[in-house]
Amino acid sequence: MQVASFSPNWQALLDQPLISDALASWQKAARAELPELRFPSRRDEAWRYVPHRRVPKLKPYAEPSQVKPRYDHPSLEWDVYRLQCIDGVLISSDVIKGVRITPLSKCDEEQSRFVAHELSEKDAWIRLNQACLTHGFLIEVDAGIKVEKPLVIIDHTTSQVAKQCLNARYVIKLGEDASFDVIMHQSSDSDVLVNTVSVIDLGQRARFSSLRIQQMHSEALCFHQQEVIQGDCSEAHLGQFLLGASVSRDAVHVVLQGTEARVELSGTAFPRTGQFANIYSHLTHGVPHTSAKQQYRSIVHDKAQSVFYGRVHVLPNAQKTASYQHNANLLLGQRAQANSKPELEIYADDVICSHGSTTGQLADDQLFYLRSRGIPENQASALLVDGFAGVTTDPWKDSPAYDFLSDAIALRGKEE
Amino acid sequence: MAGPHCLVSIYSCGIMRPEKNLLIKEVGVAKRHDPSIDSFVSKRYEHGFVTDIESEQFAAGLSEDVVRAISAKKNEPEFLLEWRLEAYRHWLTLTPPDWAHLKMSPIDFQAISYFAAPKSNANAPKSLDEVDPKLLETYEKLGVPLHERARLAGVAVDAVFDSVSVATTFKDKLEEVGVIFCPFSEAAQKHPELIKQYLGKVVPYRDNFFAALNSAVFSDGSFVYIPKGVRSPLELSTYFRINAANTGQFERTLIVAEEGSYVSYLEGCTAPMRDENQLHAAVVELIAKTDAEIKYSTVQNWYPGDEEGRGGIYNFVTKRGSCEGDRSKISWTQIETGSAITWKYPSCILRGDDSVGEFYSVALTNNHQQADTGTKMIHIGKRTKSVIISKGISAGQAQNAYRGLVRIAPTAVKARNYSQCDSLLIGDRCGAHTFPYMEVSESTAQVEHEATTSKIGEDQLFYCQSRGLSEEDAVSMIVNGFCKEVFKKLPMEFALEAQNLLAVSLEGSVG
Amino acid sequence: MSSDLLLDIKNVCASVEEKQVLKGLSLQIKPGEVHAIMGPNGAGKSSLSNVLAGRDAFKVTDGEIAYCGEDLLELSPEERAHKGIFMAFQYPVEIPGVNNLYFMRSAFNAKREANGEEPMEAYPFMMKVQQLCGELEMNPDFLKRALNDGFSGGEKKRNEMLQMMLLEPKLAILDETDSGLDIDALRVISNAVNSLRNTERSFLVVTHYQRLLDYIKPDFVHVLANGKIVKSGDASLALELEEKGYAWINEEV
Repeated sequence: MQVASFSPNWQALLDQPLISDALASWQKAARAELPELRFPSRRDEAWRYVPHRRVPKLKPYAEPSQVKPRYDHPSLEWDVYRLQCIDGVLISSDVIKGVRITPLSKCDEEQSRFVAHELSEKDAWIRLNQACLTHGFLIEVDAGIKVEKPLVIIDHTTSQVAKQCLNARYVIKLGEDASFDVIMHQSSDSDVLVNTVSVIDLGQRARFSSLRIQQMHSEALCFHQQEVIQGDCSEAHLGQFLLGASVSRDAVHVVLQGTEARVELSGTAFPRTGQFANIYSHLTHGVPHTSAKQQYRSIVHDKAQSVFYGRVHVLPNAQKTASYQHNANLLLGQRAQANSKPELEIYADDVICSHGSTTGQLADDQLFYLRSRGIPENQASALLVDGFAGVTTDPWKDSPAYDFLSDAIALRGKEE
Repeated sequence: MAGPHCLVSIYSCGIMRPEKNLLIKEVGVAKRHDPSIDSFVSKRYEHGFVTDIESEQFAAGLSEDVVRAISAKKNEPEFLLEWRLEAYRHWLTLTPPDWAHLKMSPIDFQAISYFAAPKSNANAPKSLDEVDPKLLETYEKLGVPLHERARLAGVAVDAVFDSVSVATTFKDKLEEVGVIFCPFSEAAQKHPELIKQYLGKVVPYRDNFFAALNSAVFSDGSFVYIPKGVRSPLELSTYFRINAANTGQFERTLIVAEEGSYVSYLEGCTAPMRDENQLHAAVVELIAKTDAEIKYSTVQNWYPGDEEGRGGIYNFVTKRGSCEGDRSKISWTQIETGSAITWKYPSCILRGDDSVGEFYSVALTNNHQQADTGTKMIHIGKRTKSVIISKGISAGQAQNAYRGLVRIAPTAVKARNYSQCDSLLIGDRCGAHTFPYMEVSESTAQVEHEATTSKIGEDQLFYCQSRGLSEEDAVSMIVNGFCKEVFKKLPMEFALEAQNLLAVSLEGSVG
Repeated sequence: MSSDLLLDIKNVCASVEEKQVLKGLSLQIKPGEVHAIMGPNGAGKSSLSNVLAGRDAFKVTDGEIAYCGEDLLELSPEERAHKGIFMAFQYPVEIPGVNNLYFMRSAFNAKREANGEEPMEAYPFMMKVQQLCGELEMNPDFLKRALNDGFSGGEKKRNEMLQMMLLEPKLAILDETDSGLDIDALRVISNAVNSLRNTERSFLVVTHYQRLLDYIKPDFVHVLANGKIVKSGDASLALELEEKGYAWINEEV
């Protein structure tokens, strides 16, 4: 399906204002290319299973004249920095020593060159993001700066932008020896389509974590593609929790291009009745001595569908790679569906790579054990479902958002 | 040094020549030259002799006329010709698949000859005495024991030489119990109603590019029919060999196991050395009815090409079994060590309730070989079960991929699948890949998949060597241990052959 | 029937996956008694434990079981637990992701709630559990880990004893709790059981070896073979079994 056919007034989408002069030529290049492109479909392995027929006609973004900040955000009780963006409009941003947060529209030529980073995965959604950017930030953490509190990025959309297509881009750059944590909370209370691209660049010995919690409206669509480039001895910890949206796909591509770089990924997709949630992870082990650990789960309600697609790609000469991946899927409803596609593509011999995938239902012996201790059946199932997801939330125990995340998962289990 | 003679006997020992095993042991302990990582050269393809007998061969090229000519050559009934033509016309609308993890130059389908029969054999022999003695000699070299000698008892062999079935042994013994085991072309004449009923039912010609091609031009193959309640008294076996240059081999195997029957079928493959690639595009269809069981084992040792990657067989095979009846079972076991390119996914469609599908595979690639192999398990019936055990070994500059699909349909209540895919890498220029798909649409199903990739353990090697084993023997021992689960599934005589075949194929791959 | 029985098993037959595992088993236990069930492998020892705890797969096809005068077979596994039945599993299941302490508080409060009591707050509960950990020579770090996840055999059994002490059952069933334990762990576990012995509480100790009975002195010993009790006696029967093995039972029966 060609991109152009997805909007009744396609030209209006391309006529949206450019985000800045510095990024104008980059955006224009995508606008020229876009109408000819085709949305990825069943034939594209990375997008296999994504129900593109459920993508609505795209409606261009119109900046609302008045936007109210969220005073009820859970992070108000956490000891964190905050950056608040509502309906694509920057509301507030805390000042952090050694960190520069620049809206994309204010990036100078040099910064813009970095923002215009060409991702190694290419598809029409990434081009759409480039062509029709609505908001986003460049966050630069200076070398040696260790930011003690996490930055919560609140990206919320209200019914003011209902049915519109928002394209956000977050570019985060850590200098050598820097340390920085981000909690990205994406939410909406209406049926928007948010198409986000994140680019993370980690200098030598930098340490970074990103906990992404997606709680979009049950009619909303949410695509997120993230590329993480890791320098020597850098360490990244990434979390993806898909707790909303009608159709969501959360992709991460980690390029381990510095020796001794390490990455740990975890996440849970939790589609409810009729929903579709897809986690896509792609690791490129590009040099010797890199390591990765992945732990992904999905909990699937009746008539819902989850997809896990994990690629581990070890390039020639990337000896001593250690890469571990596990995916488990829990089917809770009769017509629940889980698709899993863990892949190993290995061109170096001195490696230890493994993956495992299981799909099934709650284990009878576990249920019986809990019940034999007096825990009623429904409570025992809920406990097991929480425990199932707990394997992916455990690594986030020290995050101020941990309780919020656990509660959100528990609540999602009980809602039905 | 392992000489050709020994290796042929290694191959043949699988068809029951126990006395040769002693010989193999001698080969096993013989000290080889100093191996180095670049010396993959020492692996020789040992079946690379060309039999010098006259053969009748069609001119290269494919057209409706060629399809008609093939059919006419075989005096086929009209319905079969029609079916071939439909397949051919459908094939014309298709393009070769490009999704497998393979690098290859395009095949020129007009440069291939679609029919080659040994000339002296144009009117199929009535008994072994009528078979060209040179052919028999070839089978001797291959180790196919056509002569019905006491020590061979237990194996009935249908040998397909180029494109024509030459002789089938032990026919009488099988006929006593009503088992039909004969060349496909003979079945088309003697049992047209069975062919009409079952041909293309599991693998329709519309299935894929190579299945369509095969359906149009298949020249021969084996047909097996096991009547209700019969356990085949013999292991059935077919040997395939491509001899003539620039020919394609397109055999078609059809096995039908009626209610409560059992059959174990073995297939072996070899081809002589040629500089150019040769095409092999077979189709195998299995049908297991209620309580029937089919065990299908393959040792594939087609010519893999030389150490520079020249020549070798392109092996594009569609194998599929349908567990139609309740409690039926189909088990695929394959040892794949040959071919320049292997593209093969023996599959099971588990329709009957409580039916079982199994896939056990060892795929070894060395030098420039490429293998893209795996299975599909389609669960439709209730409580269907499947097991997938795949062992990939990659050495030299070879690429070895497992590609598998486990699909649990919404009807497959309490279906179970367990898959395990392990890869072993020997040398730093090869690749090992795992591409499993799991599609589960039934909430009471349980699907489990595990995969590991690692290099051959240095500490294991060192341990063996410190106990006095040569490096190559140590590698061979470790590789055999790695594959043990699969070897266990082979008929006993084949298991030993498979082990030795691996050792030979790996020769020189360590340093 | 006498009303002072805690457990009254009458002629129970049970099967699992259509295989008959209990074939007319009868047993009576009064409050405060310790009964040992011994027998060769495959005699039906674990089946008896599972039937009492209420595992689904074990279907009672004949006979009845009264517990405190009530029909036990009508109760769900959790109701049995609320009413004071506790089974220490032979192979406690591992549940990754479910915190051990959280699990124990859920179980503890579920029982209190079922008995009309107020749930216990997190802090006093933790103090209570930590004290019990001390008695069992258990590192309190276990409480922070996932339930039985990655525990060694001995650690799992201690964790079972911890739950038993916490839930203070009326009838504790120890299903081959001694299997795979070293002598220190055996001592700790026996101490735990002995510390809970009183005139109200009964124990059903299922074991293959006499060894455990050196530490936990039974009032009665029963020999289970082929799905029923074939011989009963006092503690000396266990010693006899130790000496002669199980073969003579078959001859005698």
